[in-house]
Amino acid sequence: MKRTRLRNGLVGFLVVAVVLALAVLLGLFRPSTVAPGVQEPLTDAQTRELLPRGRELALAGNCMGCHSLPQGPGGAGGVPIDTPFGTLYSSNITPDKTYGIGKYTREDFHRVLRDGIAPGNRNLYPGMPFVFTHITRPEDIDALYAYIMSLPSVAEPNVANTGVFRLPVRPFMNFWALINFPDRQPPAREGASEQWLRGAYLVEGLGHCGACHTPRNVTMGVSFARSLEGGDVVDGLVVPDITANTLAKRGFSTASLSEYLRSGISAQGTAFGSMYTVTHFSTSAMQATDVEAIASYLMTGKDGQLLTPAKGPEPLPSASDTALQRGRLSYMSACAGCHGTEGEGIPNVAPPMNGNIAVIMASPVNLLTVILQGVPTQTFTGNQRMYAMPGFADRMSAEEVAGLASWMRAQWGGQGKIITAEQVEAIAPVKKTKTD
Amino acid sequence: MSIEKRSLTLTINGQKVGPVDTPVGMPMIDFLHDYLDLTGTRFGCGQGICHACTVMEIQPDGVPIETRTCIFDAHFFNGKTLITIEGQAKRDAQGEVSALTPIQQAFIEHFSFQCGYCTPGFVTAATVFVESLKRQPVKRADLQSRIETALNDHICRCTGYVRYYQAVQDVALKTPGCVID
Repeated sequence: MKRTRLRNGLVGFLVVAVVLALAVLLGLFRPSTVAPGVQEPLTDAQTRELLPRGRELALAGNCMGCHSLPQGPGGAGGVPIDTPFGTLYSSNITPDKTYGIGKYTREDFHRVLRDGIAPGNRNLYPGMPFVFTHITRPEDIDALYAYIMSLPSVAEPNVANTGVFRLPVRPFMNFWALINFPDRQPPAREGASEQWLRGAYLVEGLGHCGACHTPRNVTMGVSFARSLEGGDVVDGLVVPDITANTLAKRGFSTASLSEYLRSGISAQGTAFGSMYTVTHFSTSAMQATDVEAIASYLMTGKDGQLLTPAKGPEPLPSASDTALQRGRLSYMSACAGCHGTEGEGIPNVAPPMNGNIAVIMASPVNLLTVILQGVPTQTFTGNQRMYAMPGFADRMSAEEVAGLASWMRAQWGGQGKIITAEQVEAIAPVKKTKTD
Repeated sequence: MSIEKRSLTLTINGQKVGPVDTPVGMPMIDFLHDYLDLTGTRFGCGQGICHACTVMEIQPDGVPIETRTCIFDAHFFNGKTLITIEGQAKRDAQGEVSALTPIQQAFIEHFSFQCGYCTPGFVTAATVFVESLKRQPVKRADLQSRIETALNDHICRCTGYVRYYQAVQDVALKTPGCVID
């Protein structure tokens, strides 16, 4: 008797579980959240009026940054995004009717940005930052739609994804969404200024700063509870913490952060790696008021007050230790010619090391990566440029690089932990013979 | 405050130099000019951009590479082997130049340089490039673009690039084993 009941219970539970799983798989828990009224197409007059706003928002979202190869054509996709499960390729978002999104209705476009679901109930992978664009207001999605549909069509087929993404796994994104896609709203705060609201809306929404700067959980979902704390590795570099406290501790003010976003250059270093694409294609081209809003939101502490810059770290006493002097002499012989004997840098040639975030960060990965692999010549706003830094992987031994980084971090980064040759070699193969 | 010095030993143009006490932070080009009176290496921008100050460094495996002397301290080259512009041509027992290198000769024949300020750097770059072709020949069709890539960093404000590049192409084509069809 008892066993029958237990069995029936178990069967019932299993049936419910299977039905629920099927419901999730079929997307029943992901109803459309698009605004009412977007079924009507935009009129020509509306489209014309929305274009400038759409352009600015597309810049804020850096849509073209991911949806264009560096050599172009603009918006035709094909940019690889590596994940542990395979490579995703960004898609053609030009209005081409065959290969692009030319057949998307206004409502389809809203559904993509709000819900991450393309026409035909096709679940997008979270390489598309729909968990961020979700908070975008309907009139702004309309503006983006108007702008993107006004771009030149490019008949470029999409590149097939690799790895697990070759399999028909799109419906399983519904499970992912169940745990990783909260129904977020545009940030609001009692008594907040227009500027703060605008900055918050852009940073937490279209700007999707958190797509890199907020760590991800084991299922690659954004850990919103640890917003903007950084720490993940993107393209081999550790993403810096950009919470207000940390930015202030690293010497940023609203004005200097805004200047950095507009130019790509700051006293804390120049944009490199993936951030260079952001400053180069997105924030440097945006309206100054929007960039200031972003900076002001990022510099606002938990209590709602704008934080002011702190003084950089003082040299640690250990920087004068005999053990670190080899590192100092390596700096003097290999680096000081451009970065200065006091780490002050040369404008438009080499960024300062004193106060540089790559030197200050607890993780030495970014500093070591740049020392070993160098940075290519980069151009910045206003005809500014930084000349290529050579990589030293084949000109210094792992011990020399370790000593160099250890001294730099103690001298300018407030970091006393000694870097080992093994840490250096974990990043790139280094010349084996010692020279000095 | 006294100037911090370190002992420096290296090989330049086949001659052992040092050990000599050299200030920490002294650029290699100053060491060449002031300590060794090797003034052929040109100081240009001082920021590693124009490449006028480039000299040849012979790596332990014998392969030459280009290196800039304005941004690196003399001590960066401790224990290394360098060849400056003075060490390129053959010299007789009296130390007089007896035979130019094929690159030097070609630059003269092609009227490659005008003011000549960038020339020591171009001689270095072109020599390193032709040496690299001897190890790894290039297809005839790719030669021109490879020359442009190899010499691209070197700035000539008289804009004599075309004649420099033509001279290098000439040497590459005449040197056996550099170009394959």
